[in-house]
Amino acid sequence: MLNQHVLQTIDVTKEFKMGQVMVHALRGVSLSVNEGEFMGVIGPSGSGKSTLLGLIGGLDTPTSGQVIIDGVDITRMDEVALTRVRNEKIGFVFQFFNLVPTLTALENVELPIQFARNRQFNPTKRAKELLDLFGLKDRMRNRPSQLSGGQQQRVAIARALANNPAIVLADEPTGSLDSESGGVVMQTLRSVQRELGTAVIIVTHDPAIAAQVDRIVSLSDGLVATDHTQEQLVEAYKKTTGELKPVESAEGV
Amino acid sequence: MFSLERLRFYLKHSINDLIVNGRRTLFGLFCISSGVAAIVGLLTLGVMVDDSLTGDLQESNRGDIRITPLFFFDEEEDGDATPPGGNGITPEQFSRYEEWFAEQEGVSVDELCTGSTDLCLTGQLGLEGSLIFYNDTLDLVQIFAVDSQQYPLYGVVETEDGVSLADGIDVDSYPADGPADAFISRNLADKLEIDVGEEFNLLGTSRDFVVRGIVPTRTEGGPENIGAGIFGYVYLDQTVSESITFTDPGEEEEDESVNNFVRIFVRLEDPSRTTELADAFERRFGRTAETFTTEDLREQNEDISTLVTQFNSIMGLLALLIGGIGIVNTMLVVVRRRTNEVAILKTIGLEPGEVSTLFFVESVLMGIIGSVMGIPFGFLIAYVTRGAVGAFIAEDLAFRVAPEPIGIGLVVGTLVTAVFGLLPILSAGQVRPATVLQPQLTHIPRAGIFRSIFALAFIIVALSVVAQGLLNDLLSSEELEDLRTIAQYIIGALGFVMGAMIVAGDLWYSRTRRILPLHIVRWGLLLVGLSVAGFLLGRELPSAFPMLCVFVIAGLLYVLLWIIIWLVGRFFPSFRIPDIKIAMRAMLAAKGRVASTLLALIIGVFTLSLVFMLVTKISDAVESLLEDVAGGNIIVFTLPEELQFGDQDDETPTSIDELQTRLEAGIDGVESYGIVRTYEAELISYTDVDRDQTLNRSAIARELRAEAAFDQDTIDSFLDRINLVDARSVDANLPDIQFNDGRQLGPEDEGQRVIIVPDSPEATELGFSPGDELTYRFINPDKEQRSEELTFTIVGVSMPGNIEGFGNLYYVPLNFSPAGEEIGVDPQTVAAVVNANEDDVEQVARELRQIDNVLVIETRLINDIVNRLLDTFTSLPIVVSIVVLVTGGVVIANSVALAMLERRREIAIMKSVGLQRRRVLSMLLLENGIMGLIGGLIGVGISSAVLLAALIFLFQRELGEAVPLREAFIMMAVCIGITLFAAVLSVWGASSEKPLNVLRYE
Repeated sequence: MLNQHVLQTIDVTKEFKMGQVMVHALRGVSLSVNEGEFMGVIGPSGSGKSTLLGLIGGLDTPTSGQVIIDGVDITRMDEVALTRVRNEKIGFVFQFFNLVPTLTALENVELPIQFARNRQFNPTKRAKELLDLFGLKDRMRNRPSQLSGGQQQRVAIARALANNPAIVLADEPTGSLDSESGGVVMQTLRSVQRELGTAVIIVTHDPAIAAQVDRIVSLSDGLVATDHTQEQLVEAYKKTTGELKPVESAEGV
Repeated sequence: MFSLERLRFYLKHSINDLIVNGRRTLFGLFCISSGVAAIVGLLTLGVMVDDSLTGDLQESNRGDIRITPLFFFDEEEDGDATPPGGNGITPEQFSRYEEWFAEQEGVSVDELCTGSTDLCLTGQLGLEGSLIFYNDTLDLVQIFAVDSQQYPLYGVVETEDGVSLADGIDVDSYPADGPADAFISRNLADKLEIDVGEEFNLLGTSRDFVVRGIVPTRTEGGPENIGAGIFGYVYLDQTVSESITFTDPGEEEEDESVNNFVRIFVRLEDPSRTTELADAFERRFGRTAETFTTEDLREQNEDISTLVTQFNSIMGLLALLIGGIGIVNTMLVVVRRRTNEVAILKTIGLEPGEVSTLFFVESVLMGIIGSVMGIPFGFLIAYVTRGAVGAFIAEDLAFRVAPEPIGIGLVVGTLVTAVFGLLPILSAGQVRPATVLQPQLTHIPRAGIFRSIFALAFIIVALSVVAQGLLNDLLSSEELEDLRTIAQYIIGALGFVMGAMIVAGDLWYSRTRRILPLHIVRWGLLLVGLSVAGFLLGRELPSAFPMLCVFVIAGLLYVLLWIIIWLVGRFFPSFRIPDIKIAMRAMLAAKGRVASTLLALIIGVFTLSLVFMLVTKISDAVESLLEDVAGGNIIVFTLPEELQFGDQDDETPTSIDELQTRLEAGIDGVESYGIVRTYEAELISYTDVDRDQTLNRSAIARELRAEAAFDQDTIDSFLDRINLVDARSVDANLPDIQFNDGRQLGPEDEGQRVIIVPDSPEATELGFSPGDELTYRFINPDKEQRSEELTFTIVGVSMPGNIEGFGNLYYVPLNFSPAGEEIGVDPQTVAAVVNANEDDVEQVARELRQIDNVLVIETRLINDIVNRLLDTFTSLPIVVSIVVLVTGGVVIANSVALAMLERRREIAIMKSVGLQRRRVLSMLLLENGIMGLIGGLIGVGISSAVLLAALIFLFQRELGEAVPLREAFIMMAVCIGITLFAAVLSVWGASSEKPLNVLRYE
């Protein structure tokens, strides 16, 4: 199963108009992500990280090129079809958790299953299992406002995994958390990748987070600047600056 | 199972959301509930009116059949029916009716009203309208001179203490000396401040009366006795006619017609024969009398009731539409605030339709809760305003909680909320999921052009269905065939538009790549199906046309307001005052919402100000007319000799002489006075000097008929009007009027045969102009003596602008004949017109009343009566307009509150940079004050324009053609006041929030 592409982008471009100016957010990005891969996307502001995340997450459509998820080309799908892809194939984790504030932790996790067209799980049972897995058994009936940031983010991860997606996309997942909570969240994501075999793509600014992934793709001006494994990257940085000290990957949840 | 699960989710999520967003929810709910309250309140009033009018018809009609005389009939054609002899039905005629009914019902005449049979006839004497004197006050009153032992044949007349007419009025008191017994109505007692045991006098009677009891006003009321409801009334026993003298002014002899009946009430043995017997009666006596049955009353009352209900329904619907604007605003804010949440939901797998369903469920829930909240308020409105609305039909309305308004309020409130929520709901479905990646940016959800047009078309159709449901009686008449045809095309076109928008959306959003042929078939079916369905449905929805008009007008107004706000926000100078600058910018930033809020306000202000200004206009016109036409503010009539009190002999100075002596001697406060003698005159001919042509009466009628197609009624009315000529003092108190041509009379006209005529369409057609001549013969009051022919030269043609029937504006100099020349006839009335200083009017009137045998009338008192009438007829529209305006006020409060919620951050920033709370508050109030001013200017401006158009085209300039500025300003102030009040309610809390809380946690 390993080394099978769960995600492929082929020469993807994205252009849009901002006021009177045409912005070329992506200028031809080609990437492949394998099943069970733990990958990071880094780059400065305006490099196209969020745009790429939106395209591979089926939140947006490219101007040209192809986006293939789990063998399905989503490039020309309409909104309804894209919604199904997001629901079944992709899990999202955001910086600001983005839980539905009026629903409890359990209901938030149940939600994607309830709206799945090809339902694989019993919503409540699956949601309870996932929350239990992430140490939130006692907080299931709490609303987001009654949870800490770290707990909210773990609920968001549970929700992302609700329909057993092929990929989890995490946009600055620790950006709103203190280092301790951030560490727990990263451990959680790592366990998702290791134990469930789900590919995890993390978009981040944080070098400490980037140091925890197995592969790092850096973007610059809408193009892939580098695409290295952790080891390659560490070596490269050591050679040039010697400044970056890779943080030991956390094990387990 | 899935769908149930989802429904549960929708409901749970919606309820949670409504609770979590408590304040916003509450504002939205207020908008809905105010609209529903208006419609429930107004419909309940309609039900109460209906109850009152269609309740006990026999009691309202005072019998199964009511018989009234025909006053004008051709005696020769009457056959064997005995003419009623003057006014009313004579006692002999009454007996004949009794005999006829007894025969029809198979009973003996002797048995009538005895208890052995139900058949009974009782009459009311012809003393209907009269004037009452009490404590120096003169007022109008209606008199019910009835058989106190029999009347009423159905129901009871009881005093507030429970004493019946039969027990309370001692018939034996009538032949005796001293005051006769009477019952009076509560409204009369209140008006005159008269109580049981006190005495009063009726104009034209030779004895006093004593109040023996006070009956509730509603005892005699209803549309057929509207005068009783407005002015009050007196019950006398009909034997009164035997012991006192009633005399009509102008009649030398005692008026025998006082013994005649103006109404006869019949209670039948078998009420099911009512219509049959009434028809038979009219066949037998139809030339002299007519019948009015309980069935006729039912039809008449149902018509009135339907009219009131329909008016209330229209206004209720208007209030609900205004509330709808609040709903749109609330839902837009709700969707905007939850853009990120919607994006999350879409990210995790909710399709656009599902997101829209979620908001739809929420809006339906809001509709239901808001409607339920509004219903008790509606009943409260009905309860509080029932007095004012009851005055409209001169009835006391009994409050009751009726099920129909509850059902209609709930259904219509929920439907309208869902319909108005459609556009925000659709826009929620279109939130881009990628929004979730940029939470720091402001995303404004938009439905897109195709969905917006679709939604608009759908809203018009849906609201047409609601309007049709509410106004079905009004809009289902067969006479509305043209409207049905128009509606067919409108709804058909809207159906086509909806279909076209779906097709355009599919094409635009590229949903057609797969199975294109299937799409083409679907598009064809949609376009044809929706158009045909619309065309067919349109026949049943004539309301579509007025609804489309409302939307077009509202749309144009919205665009106009949007532009005005843009212009004001952009170009209005801020005078370097930061408060004004920020206020302007804030308005610019929310042009759409400000425009829609203003629209709600303007509709409310327009409705109320139009009614208010029109009422003022009529009242002012009457008041100024009375004063202008009279030439003074007190009119003193001298009573005719036959009505004069005290011993009269040749030596006794006549009242006019005494009056003149007193006035000449000088009374403090009198600025000027003049004498007016009114003659009945017969127009002999009109000579047009320019055309050198003389027309006699019939030639005038022919000319009017031929040249200008005036109908006979108009011609008769014109000829009658010019048959009264005033002879007025030429040195003072001439009517204060404008002239189209020629001039006012002056002292130089003393002794000259000159005349002033008013302009009118007929006078214009005939060409009345200075220099022309009118020839009259004056007639003595006994009609037996006529003067020589007198020819008057027209010297002035006065401008129109006067209400017909108030004052006679054909006038000549008091001494129009050369000195010493007698014309040999007496005037009908002689009066003095006194112009007193405004502050001294009452004092002067009191002094003048001391002169024997004069009737002193202050013009303002007549105006009071007119105002009371006006109040009666305008009570319903004013109450309804206020309800509508209050709904507008709630929409403003909602809008301001929403703006405050959105601008908490801005307010916090302003406070954090050093603005004090008071300054922030004043700035926000300034902003809303400007909004209120714009709303007031436009609302009052439009109503002024409509009023002006009505004055010119509807009232033919009879009320003048100027907008009452003072009232216009009052309405503008009301508008600003409502806006500021609504704003204060909303901004008070917002301005006091701690900035840190908002900036850190918001």
